[in-house]
Amino acid sequence: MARPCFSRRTKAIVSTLAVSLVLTAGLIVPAAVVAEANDSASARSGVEIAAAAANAWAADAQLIYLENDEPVDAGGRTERWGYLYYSPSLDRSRGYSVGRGKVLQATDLGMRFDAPLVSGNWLDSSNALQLAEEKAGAEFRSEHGGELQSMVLMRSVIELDEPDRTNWMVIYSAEGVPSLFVVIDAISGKVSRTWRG
Amino acid sequence: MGHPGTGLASRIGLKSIVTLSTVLLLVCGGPAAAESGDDAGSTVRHQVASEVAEAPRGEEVQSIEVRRVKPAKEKKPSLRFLKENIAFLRGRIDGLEASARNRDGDSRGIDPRWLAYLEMTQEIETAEERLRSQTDALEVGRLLDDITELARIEARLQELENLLASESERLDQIQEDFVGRQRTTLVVLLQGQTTTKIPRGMTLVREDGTEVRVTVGTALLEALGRGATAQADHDFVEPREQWMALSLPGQAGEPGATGYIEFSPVRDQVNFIELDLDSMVSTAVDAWQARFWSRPYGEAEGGISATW
Repeated sequence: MARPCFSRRTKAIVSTLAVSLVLTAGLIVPAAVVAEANDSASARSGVEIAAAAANAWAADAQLIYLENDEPVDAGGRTERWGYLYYSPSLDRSRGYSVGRGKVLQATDLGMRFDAPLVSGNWLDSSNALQLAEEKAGAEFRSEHGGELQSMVLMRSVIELDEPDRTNWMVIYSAEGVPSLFVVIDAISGKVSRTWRG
Repeated sequence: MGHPGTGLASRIGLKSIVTLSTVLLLVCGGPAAAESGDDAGSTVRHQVASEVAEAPRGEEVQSIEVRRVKPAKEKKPSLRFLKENIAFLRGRIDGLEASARNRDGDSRGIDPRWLAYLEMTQEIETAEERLRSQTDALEVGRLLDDITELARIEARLQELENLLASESERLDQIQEDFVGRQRTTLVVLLQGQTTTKIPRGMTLVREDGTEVRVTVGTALLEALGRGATAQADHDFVEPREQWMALSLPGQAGEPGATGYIEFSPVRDQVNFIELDLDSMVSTAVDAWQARFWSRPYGEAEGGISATW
């Protein structure tokens, strides 16, 4: 029987592949661990969880506001999002802090805040942050050493002449300079306004 | 938390005073029990009740530790931007309401689901109309045996099939909407057979202030003695880690006792806490016993019906 004969080149390729496989395996394990340990999520991922709690509190509870409860990362994700619900029948608002796939905290707002309910099909925080960064956020951060402070979703309020519009308001801050506000139409994804203040 | 309909009572915090008349004995679960005579019925009820007392088969049952001290929770800041700027935002909302009133009158957003249902109704009406005209045409078509007419009839049948498909799609949409709106509920059950010493009343207070007073009357006591399990409370509850206080009143001039249990209701499921009244005959809170389990809707058994 003829013995298989491998050229030096083939042997080199096989050795390289084997080394690569070992290295890749070594890299994959820590990456998986990191992914598991990372508890951050986008704003949309917690809505169902918050809604389940809010509906137990009041059958007519409506989402009227949300913001990040922990710092937001570059992908528009954070470890906790805060969702505020309003019940017209109770005339009260209750906030739910959601993280790691569950309600971590629930508290009554303790003051009247009957903002209109947000539209159902709003852009997720990751898209909103990307739009804000492209418009002015990235420039602000690099010029002033600033950072993303808050991401807020609510209907109208900022644009009184557009009362039906749900907006993302992305706020950047830096020491010694006025903060940057970027307002994005949360349905169309159009940046409607930026200002410093 | 409050069931729709608990209304004012729920708002003022004192949800209900549970007496024998309002405590639902979980002994009337099966049709067999309802149809049996008194004695036979008692036997059947007893068996059903025993099953309930042994309760959760297949579910993971957790023993809950009863503590003397209310569980302390670390409060993390939430909705900071809102709280820091609430005066400004409130002012803007007031301005918005004024502006909306000036333009359109006082109104609130309509739930998009209702608008979708309205559209569906219109689609159904249109489909029905088309179906009617197609059926009429079909009747006429039956009289024709021309091959061209047959092809036309086939096309019409195809259209009918399409109408049925869109009808099915609408049904799926409605089903998804309603099935997706399951609620998380909590049922508090009482169980105990040491009839002479069982506490005759207790108060359950949940973290949100909802208070339920339970009175164990003679008839209930007798039923418990036979092995029945009683429902002391059934309400919507937030699916999150929380505590509940159990308070027994003092007797014969002695001080009462309060214990705290912690539990995590599972989202969109029926969650059960069973209090063992036998263990609550003394005021030694540490000795009190409670169990917790949960099960999905529609899987209730052993006399507990999911039709509440």
